[in-house]
Amino acid sequence: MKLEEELRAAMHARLDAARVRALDARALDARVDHRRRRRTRARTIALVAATGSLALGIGFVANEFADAPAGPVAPAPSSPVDGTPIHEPGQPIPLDAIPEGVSAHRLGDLRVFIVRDGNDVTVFDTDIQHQPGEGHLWWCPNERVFAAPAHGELFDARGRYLAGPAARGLTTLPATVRDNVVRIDLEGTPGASRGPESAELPAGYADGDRAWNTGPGSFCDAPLTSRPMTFAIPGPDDFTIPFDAIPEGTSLHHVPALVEGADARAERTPGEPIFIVRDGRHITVFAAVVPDHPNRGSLFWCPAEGVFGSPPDGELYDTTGRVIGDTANRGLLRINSYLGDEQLIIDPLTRQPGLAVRRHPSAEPMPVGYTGAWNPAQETTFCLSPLIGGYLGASPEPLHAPLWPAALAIGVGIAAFAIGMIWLRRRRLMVR
Amino acid sequence: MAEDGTERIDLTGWFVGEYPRLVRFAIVVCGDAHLAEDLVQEAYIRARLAGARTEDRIGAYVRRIIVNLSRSRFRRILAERRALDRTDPVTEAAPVGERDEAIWSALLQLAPRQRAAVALRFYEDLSDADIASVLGIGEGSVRQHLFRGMTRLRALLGEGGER
Repeated sequence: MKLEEELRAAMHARLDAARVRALDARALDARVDHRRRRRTRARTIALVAATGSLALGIGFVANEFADAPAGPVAPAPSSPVDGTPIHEPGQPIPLDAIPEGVSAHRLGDLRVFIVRDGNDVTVFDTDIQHQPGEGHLWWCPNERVFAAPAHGELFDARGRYLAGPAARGLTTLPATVRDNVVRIDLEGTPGASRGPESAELPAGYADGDRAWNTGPGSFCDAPLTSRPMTFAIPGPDDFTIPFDAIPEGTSLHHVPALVEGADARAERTPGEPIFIVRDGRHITVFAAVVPDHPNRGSLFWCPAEGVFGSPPDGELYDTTGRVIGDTANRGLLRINSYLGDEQLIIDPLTRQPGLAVRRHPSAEPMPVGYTGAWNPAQETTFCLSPLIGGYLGASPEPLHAPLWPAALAIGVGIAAFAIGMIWLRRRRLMVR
Repeated sequence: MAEDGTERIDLTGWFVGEYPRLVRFAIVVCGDAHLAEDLVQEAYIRARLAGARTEDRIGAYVRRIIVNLSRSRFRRILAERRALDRTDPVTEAAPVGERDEAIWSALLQLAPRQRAAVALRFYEDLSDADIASVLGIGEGSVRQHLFRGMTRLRALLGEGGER
């Protein structure tokens, strides 16, 4: 007998006699369902992880390229600017950095007013203890009161309650002065409970709902505000401009910015003009718009007269943004800025509305030739060489974020996806 | 109908009907009856997870899963099995009546693919093309596996040189 036939016979003899139990399909189906659930869960986790990582990485890259030219990473701000020095909590503050009188400061994420009288230093928290986090305290230098405009809380220069719905006086942060160095204890002492309202409130302080910053006629003529100081370190939408690139006086710049649209959503504008007013290391940044007509644009700088103006209706403002014309109802819109390491950091998203005060009766007289509405193209206009519409000075650059987080995120995403797919294929046995 | 237009089959029903044949094929492939049942049941689970197949392809598909499983996940178990076999080698001259047992022992010493090809040819009576389809290899490779398998069997059974 040939081996092939013997082999066939041997296999049949052996295998046909083998007893095979019936297949318990129901038990196997339960295992199928279990594996199917496990596979679906694993696939979902892998896809979510991969998609999330990829989206994160792509978002990093898109953000980086959308913001165009990369600049250096801005260090944490440390120098005083615009009357708002910034200090880290616990860091000793040179006494010389604190001006005489009342000044607004930031201690880490804490906003404070510091009142200096020679070597005497008093520090007030800006929390008005009415609505937590409201923190919208102003110092009115002419009336010598602290005031919260939303609900009309008033406190005197020593932080004592005067009027409004506040529960108690301002919280005091203990401060010591030694060897010309000020150290501030961040554990504050709450102010005394409110007593009766003061009989002598500032002239013009509105009664009723006590809100007084929403229209012309406010009693607080030239407030020093505790806002806007919402960033302890530069934010991702901030821009920087080298300090040396900012000329003395007033200059026009363009900042591609995220601004709040009409529907309260942030939207990117192709290039927003801003005015930077520099006086040594004192810098103020204004949005180049007319506050009463924000969509009309065209705020002019008249260098000879030293005023900001708008031709159609003749609004005029001085270099601090205050109204000096007859037709404006509100001062210029400020954009928050602060000094980093030899560079100005501009935060285009945090803006401070101008004071809603019309021209003071005792203000300087109008510029010669000013006639209300004025056309700068006419030879008779008072504004002979207006500055608007063109580009002058350096353009602020966006803060540069490093690319490695994007690369890492994309790498993790691809790796997670690949590992997940390999694992899944191994689990289900791909036929080779 | 499946998405590709082919007819779906009742996989569970097909498996229940084919289960004895599949287990017997798996016994040849792995050499162990209990392990063969595990192999076929694992193949059933994987075929269910992979989705429906048409009836003319499901047989080859499932047998290929069985062969692949025996070569991958069950490799360690099979290695242990072969080690046990080596401790009880087949005698050179098989006594009368024990010829089938000698052939079977020699068969289990073949390489997995050779054993699978031999089983598909002499137990399942498949053509070279069908064997190639099951094993996922070319027909030339099938003929080579069969030739080497038979040569090795002859050597093990003391019939060297003949074919």
